[in-house]
Amino acid sequence: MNKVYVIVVTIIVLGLMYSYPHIMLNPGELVNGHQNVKTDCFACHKPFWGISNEKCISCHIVSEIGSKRIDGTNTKKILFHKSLTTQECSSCHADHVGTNPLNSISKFSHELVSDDIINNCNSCHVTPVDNKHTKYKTECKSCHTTKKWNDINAFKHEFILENELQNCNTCHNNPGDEVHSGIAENCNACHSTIKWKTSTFDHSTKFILDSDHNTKCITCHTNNNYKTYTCYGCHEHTVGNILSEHNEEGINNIDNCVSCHKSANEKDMKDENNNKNKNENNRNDDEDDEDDDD
Amino acid sequence: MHKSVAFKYILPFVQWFGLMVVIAIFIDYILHRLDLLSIGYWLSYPGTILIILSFIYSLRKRKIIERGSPKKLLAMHEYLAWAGSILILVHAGIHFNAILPWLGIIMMLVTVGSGLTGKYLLKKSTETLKAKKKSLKDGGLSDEETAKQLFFDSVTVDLMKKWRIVHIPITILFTILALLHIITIIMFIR
Repeated sequence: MNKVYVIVVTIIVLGLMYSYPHIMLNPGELVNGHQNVKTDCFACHKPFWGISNEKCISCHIVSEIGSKRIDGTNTKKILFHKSLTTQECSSCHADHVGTNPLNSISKFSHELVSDDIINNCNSCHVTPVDNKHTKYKTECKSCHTTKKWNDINAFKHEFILENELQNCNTCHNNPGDEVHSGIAENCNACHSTIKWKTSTFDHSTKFILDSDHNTKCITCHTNNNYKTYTCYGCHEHTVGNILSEHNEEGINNIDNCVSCHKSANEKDMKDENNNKNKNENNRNDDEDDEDDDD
Repeated sequence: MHKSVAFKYILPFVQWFGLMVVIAIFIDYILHRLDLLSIGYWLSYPGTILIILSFIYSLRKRKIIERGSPKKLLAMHEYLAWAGSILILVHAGIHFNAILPWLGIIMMLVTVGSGLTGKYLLKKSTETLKAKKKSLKDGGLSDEETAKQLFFDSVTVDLMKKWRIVHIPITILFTILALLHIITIIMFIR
């Protein structure tokens, strides 16, 4: 009795496979252009052999492949298929991967096409119209390889148009952290184009930021200009109290504090010779002023 | 304290079946994460080989081959078929396209379930029922009282004994569907 069940079920399955092969056996939806043969597996498949080129080119005329869309309208694509005489169609094209024709290109290799096409990327690819690609003065192959479009292996900042080179924000985002949040431009004051993460700037070589000076950059660097600074951006230092402190030492040039002070510690001065010169300059300035008054 | 047959043997049955599915999902997840989907495709080969090897026990049982300990071959039959089924499940993935391969997968799961039924439910529960019966009789209960005490266990065991009737046809049906799948794959090879 069990044998009868097994035989009956097997016959039913075989019958369904024969009558509805696209439901029973189809491993995935055929591309739009092949929908008319979806119930006829042998329109493309040669039993136990695979897919022969003859089956493909019986419908697709090699010299015209790429020249027309499915709806019959013409395209501007390069017709490189006509030079492919030895390759199997199935080495690049697959099917049963959905109705979108783009899904059916599985293993395209640039080695298949001639050098004149290879050297003219735009014959197949459209230049992206994003912020980055419209700023380049160089050829696609300077950055991209034919192995993988996203395989960017040779980007250099020299490729960018000169007038765009200062606009770092075109490609890079401001990190938005505490240090960078107030900075809108002049990235190259600290960063080079060699490596984004390696900043060449060390604030302690100019002025050591101790706990009393742990403040926002714009407190000292106003107007987004990091080449200048002021020590009078906070309540602690005013022109009046700094002048009164320095007058007794004969110093009246109080605009460039960092020329003498390398930290908030007033005893931690830069080299004395330098200071002497500064003081002498100050005195000379005073004498000049007195002469002028005369 | 006598544990019921259902508690003692249905639980490990569910555990082994569930473990098979969980391991398959885990392997499939890892392959997806590592973008190694093609490995899932090739796992059909070792999976099929393991399942075919598991049938050595069936050949030994029917004396088509005469060498090998039946007990060891039975253990091998159980574990190889179970491990092979995991690989086939990974191979199948969760893709709903052709119906034939899915019928094969469903029959494979039914076959594994049927095998685990034999391993845990029938064999062990029969042993337990006998042991319980002996224990109750040794405790001085009459045949009638023993039968009353073991009524539900006896019903459970009787139901499970029908396993022998269905396990082999289920396996044959699975084999036929798997063969049809393999043949059609070779037939429509790219």
